[in-house]
Amino acid sequence: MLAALILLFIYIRLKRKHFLLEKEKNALIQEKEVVVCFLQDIGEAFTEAMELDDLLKKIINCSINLVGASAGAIFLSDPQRKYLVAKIVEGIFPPMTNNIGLVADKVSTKTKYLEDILKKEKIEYGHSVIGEAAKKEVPILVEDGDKDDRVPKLKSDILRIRTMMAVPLKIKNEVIGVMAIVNKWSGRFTSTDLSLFSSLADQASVSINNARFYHSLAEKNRIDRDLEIAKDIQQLLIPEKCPDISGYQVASYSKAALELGGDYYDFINVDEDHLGIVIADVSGKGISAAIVMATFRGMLNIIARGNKSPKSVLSEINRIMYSDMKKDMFISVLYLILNTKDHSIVASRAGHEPILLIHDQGRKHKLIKGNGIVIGIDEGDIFDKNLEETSINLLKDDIIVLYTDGITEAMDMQRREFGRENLIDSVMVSSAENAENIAKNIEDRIARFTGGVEQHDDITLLVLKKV
Amino acid sequence: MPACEITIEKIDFEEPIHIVRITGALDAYSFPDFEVKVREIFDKDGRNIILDFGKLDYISSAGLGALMGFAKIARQNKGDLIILKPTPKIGSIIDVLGLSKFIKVFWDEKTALNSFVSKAG
Repeated sequence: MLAALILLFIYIRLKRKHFLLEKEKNALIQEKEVVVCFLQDIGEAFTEAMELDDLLKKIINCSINLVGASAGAIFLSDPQRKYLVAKIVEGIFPPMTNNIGLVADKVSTKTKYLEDILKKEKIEYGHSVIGEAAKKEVPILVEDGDKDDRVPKLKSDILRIRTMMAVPLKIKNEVIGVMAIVNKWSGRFTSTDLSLFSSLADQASVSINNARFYHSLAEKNRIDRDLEIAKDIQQLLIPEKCPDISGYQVASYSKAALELGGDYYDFINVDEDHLGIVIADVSGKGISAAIVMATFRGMLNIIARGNKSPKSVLSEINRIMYSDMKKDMFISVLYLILNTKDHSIVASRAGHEPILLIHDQGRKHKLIKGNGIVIGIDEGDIFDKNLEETSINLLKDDIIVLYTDGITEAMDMQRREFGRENLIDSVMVSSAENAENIAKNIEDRIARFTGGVEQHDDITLLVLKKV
Repeated sequence: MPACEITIEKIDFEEPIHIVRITGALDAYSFPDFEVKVREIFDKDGRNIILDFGKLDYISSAGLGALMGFAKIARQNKGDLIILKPTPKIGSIIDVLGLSKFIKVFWDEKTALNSFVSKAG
């Protein structure tokens, strides 16, 4: 009899344990199903709208529905991880501090108004349930809000927090924010709810991380495209080949950089006996720099024809372009006019690198530095007052080198610059060669110096030799 | 690239003068912070600004362009914005671009401070 009773008792215990295990299993299956459904919804959000705000909205709405809450919010951390601010609020989510809560209590309970208050509120790490979840990096369950000190006690019944849950959102072990929901449709949140909500938060973190990654990738692609377009424009503006000038050799070398850019050079027929030679560098990068360069080129091609004064040409261009240029943009320009009959040059330097003249059969060098300010900084009076014209008379074998700062500032691995001295030396040692070889020698010297280090600025070089 | 540190010192001369000391590099990444700080000075009616470039290793050309804009604002407000102790490298860039015709460059702090006094007087 006793044995039968013991057996019955064991049977009941086992049955009960089995029942509990079955219940737990069912809860887990249900949780899994909910998470899968959540992931499907979030997956849709990814294909439908990749904006982070939309994604967060979808995440919080799914969570509210799946857990059965009346409101929810996602708070994101500041970069220093000192405080949190609500990024997305759905439903009536009460403010987390009492002071602001008081205002809200008195004035209004409108959802939009509450949302604005919540979004302005900075919740310090460690303060309130939200701040605590972020600081301690653990999910927090408040079963009974009335008995919990961390929950603000607001007079209005609609703002009363009866029950709430807050879980940290983590990416690679770092807290990026907190997801929270308040007030269950029926009853109070339980540990099973917290377990489900934590699983949702984990999936949400992954989704947020993916969305952020996608955005930085899209932004990078956009910048790359912008630079590609700018590079195409730049290539269109630069002459395909140097002109044939009787009595002279002309050679050029240019290399566009990935990041910066905005170098430009050109030859303009001023009249039958005068050839304009220009080299310029637009500050800044991308499409805006390319457009400024294109505008400059167009204007120069109109204004330079028939005008034998480089100063008056640059002065006119500066006055026209000044108002259209962004405040942080400018163009450094060196414009010279070569008289192909008497072999004289008149040059104006609007803030560009000076002309390098190698004379006396390669034995001497000189930097021709007339005064001048870059285009686009001053509306006209100071620019005109400071811009000078300098004259040079070219003799046989004289060499003129025009260049942009990408040459002198080309860097090696130790961040040392190629410098003007190296440039001068490169030209002097090869001064007996033709212009093509002189340019080639400079190019090779720079390549050897930089040793394959990717350069950040365009490199442009023009060599003119009187034969 | 070295990071950028910006400190601001307010000196009560005949008129308040703000000395903005910049250490490191003023590039596309650090410039926005610098711009916010200079604009805050303008917003609080500060119109005399000294930019101490003594420990500035690098400034982008766009950064230099924007400085010219700040100098214009300072002058419109009947003040001035000047540069103090640029490194030889940055000094030479300012010189080549012709910006020294547009913005005053000083080599010691006392002369820089006095430039505001003589102007006020």
